[in-house]
Amino acid sequence: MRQNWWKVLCILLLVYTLGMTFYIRLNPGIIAVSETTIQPGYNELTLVGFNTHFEQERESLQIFIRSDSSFICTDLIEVLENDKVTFGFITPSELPSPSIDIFCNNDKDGTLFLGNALFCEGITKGAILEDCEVVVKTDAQTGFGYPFQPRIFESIRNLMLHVPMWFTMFIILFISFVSSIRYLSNPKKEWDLRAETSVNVGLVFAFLGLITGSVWARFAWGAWWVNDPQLNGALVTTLIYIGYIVLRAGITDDQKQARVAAVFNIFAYVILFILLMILPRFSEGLHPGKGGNPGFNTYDLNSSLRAVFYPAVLGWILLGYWIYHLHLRMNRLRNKLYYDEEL
Amino acid sequence: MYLYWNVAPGEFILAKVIYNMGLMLLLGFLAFGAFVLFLGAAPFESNMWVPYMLGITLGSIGFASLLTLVSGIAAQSESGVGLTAVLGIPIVIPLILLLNRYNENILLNVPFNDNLENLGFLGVLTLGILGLSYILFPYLWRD
Repeated sequence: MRQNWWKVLCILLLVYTLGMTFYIRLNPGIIAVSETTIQPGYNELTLVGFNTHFEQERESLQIFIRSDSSFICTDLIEVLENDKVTFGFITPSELPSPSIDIFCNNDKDGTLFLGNALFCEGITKGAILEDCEVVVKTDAQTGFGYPFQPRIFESIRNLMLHVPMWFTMFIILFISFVSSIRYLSNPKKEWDLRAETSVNVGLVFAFLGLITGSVWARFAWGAWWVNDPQLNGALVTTLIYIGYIVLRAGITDDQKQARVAAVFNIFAYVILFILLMILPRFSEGLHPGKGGNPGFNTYDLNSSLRAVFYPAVLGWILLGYWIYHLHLRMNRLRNKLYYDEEL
Repeated sequence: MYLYWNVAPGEFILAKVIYNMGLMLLLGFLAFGAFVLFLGAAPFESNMWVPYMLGITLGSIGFASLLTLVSGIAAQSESGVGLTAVLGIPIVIPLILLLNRYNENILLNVPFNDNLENLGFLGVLTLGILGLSYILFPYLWRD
């Protein structure tokens, strides 16, 4: 039991993170407004919120629209539901910018924001005469919740499943890479077993990462697969490691198989690193993290997301290592049984 | 067998890479000639032909060094040449992506200084592959 403490830790972390992944609610936000283009003059729109408390906080509810840096106040007409409110305002014929952002204030939800929500047609460029006084509420009691992201909504929970898969794959394949180097410097069957087992386990996590990513892409981008450097890199990586398995199957001589596979494996990890860590950094695409960390942007994480995300990464890595460990022991026994070799 | 006794593996792989480089350069420039013949000489018109040639040269060298090692690996297995394609196609993809971006930038008349990053990365990648081949090939060669 003493040396298996990390297995207990792994189970605890995974139970905690899987529970928190689905239990915690999202912070309030604005999903959309009923129109996307407006004309100068009087406009009446319906605003649709998400996890908001318009009805409860009817007293403190305020809605502003912003063009460039000047604000226009709006009048509330009717609060329909907790997440639905109609409001009206007069658009002047002169605006600093035709694209309009919407702000929504109340005591419970704080200040919500939807950028480029409206486009105003047929205006001339100019300053707004009456500016509206805006109170930004930053001290609202939103509590422990995942950040609301436009277009991603509830699927932000997938962060706890999708990203740790790739982290785990990286770690497991790194074990394989190191084992292959050690095999080449000291050809023992043990190193070969380690390399082979970890590639198999790493591939499982790569497939899981591809599946969770694909589901997420369908939700956020509307397609199961998009042409993006990060996605293609991930697919190619998987193909390379499938190539590793094919290569092993193609060689019958044991020693030769181990040696050739080790050479290919070292090569494959270098390519993997280039494909997933370096190339996406300076290319354009949909996947978050362009021009920086290729996983996610730091501003996407709030403190509650971090409190679940980091344990999730650690938990999945430990689980991956556990699976690898079991497989390795099984392979060692099988090796002993069939070949009666001392390792 | 004869080669095995007489030539150091490092030298052997370098010789093989140089031969393949020559072949790839020849093929690359032939293909470029065919493109100019049938599709017009866009790189010449936009005064970008030096970087373009540089791209072809580095790309050919990169391809040659990559595929030499991969075919060396594939030759060790019983299934032979067919495996080169299976192993090689995913591995050349980063190189293809990089070359694609580099050449696209040239045809879009992006200033050469902005494109230098891609070229540098291409060079580093090629050098890295060459170094890896040089280090790893002796392990394949021992039989």
